[in-house]
Amino acid sequence: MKKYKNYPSNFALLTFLSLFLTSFIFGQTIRNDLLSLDNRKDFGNYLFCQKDYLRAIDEFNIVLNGKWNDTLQYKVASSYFNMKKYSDAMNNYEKLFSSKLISEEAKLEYYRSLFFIEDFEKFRKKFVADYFPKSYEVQLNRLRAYSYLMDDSELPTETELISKFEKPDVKQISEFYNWKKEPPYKSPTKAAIMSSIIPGLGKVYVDEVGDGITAFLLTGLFTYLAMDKFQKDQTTSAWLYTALAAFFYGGNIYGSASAVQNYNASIKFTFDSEVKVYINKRDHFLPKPKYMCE
Amino acid sequence: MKIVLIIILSSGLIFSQTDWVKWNKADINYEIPVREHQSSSNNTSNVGSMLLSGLQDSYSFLISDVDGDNCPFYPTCSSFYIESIKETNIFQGTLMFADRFTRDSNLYKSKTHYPHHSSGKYFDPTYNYYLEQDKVHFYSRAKIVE
Repeated sequence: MKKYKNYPSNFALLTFLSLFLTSFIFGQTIRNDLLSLDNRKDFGNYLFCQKDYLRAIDEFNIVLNGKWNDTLQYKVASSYFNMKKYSDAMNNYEKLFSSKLISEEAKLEYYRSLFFIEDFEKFRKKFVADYFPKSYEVQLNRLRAYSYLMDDSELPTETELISKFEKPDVKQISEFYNWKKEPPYKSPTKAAIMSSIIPGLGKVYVDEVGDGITAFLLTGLFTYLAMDKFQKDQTTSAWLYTALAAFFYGGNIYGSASAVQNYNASIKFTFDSEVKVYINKRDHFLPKPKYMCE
Repeated sequence: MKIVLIIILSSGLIFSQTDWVKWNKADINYEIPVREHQSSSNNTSNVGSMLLSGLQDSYSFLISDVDGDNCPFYPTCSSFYIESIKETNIFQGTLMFADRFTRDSNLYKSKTHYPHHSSGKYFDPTYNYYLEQDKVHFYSRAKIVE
């Protein structure tokens, strides 16, 4: 009986040891389904929603190589779009043009990407393409109308341009149109003439009053000195002052013309910025992209 | 054995103090880096270029280096003049310089219409004054030009 006295404790020890050792075996076993396509898809979706687009594209592409999925392909294209790689996005949206489920959405996003490349002439030419998404014709036509305000191409008539928009936008679009049609640019020639009559006036014309007064004083001062020296028959210094007066006079005429060009560039910059801000505020007149993370 | 142990311990102390370099006085240079070097061009391709580079070098040596970096613009007025002559011609370049000089002498110091350069100066590039509208580039005042 003594032989079996420690049996329960030995059994417990043996059981514990067995369980302990087998846990290592199970602990080291790689689950075969960890890198399955479904898990990769879920992980890719997680990365996509975390805006880790590069890694999401890698995961999605592995899944797509094993099993085609339109939504995943759409997400690959959207990842490129979100990374502002618009050409890559277009190439990937193009693969979905024959999709039964999301062909129209893919085409819409293709046009959206094309717009963001800012080659507006190419964008407008693509409206006659056979893959133009008819379901989004109204929205894309608004974007097309808007594109005329963003480059230097010939404008359509105001009625034609405005007809694409609904009431809340019409007033603003009309203002943009009129600005584009007749931008409030100033004339460099006019500024140069003004400065040749009264030095500095051309600068005042473009709101550079300080520069204008300085030019007037410098030119006036050296002209006065030159005249004074001529009257006193001090010809050497008289010609020196004449040269200086001519230097500032000529420089101011030239500077007034170039100041107008800079002024016009600033006007154009402000207009372009306002147009971009407005179109962003209106979400480019397009519906929000589908299949994204909310 | 004791002696060996003492030697090892002692040498350990010596070696532990050998990273002298790490605790040396740091060699810090407080000089503000010069962003724009007036290159001594020594251009001898023609008489005009020779005269121009001679004038530039004389100005740099006799006036600019002594007077200090006082021009509020980037590029400085002398660099602006040289660059504008190189890009256009002597006549137009001189007119551009005359205008720049007037703007530099602005009595009211009203320079709000210039963008800021990363050097802390006003950015006023020559290509905005060639009288070619296509070359004029407007920079947002909110940004600092590199």
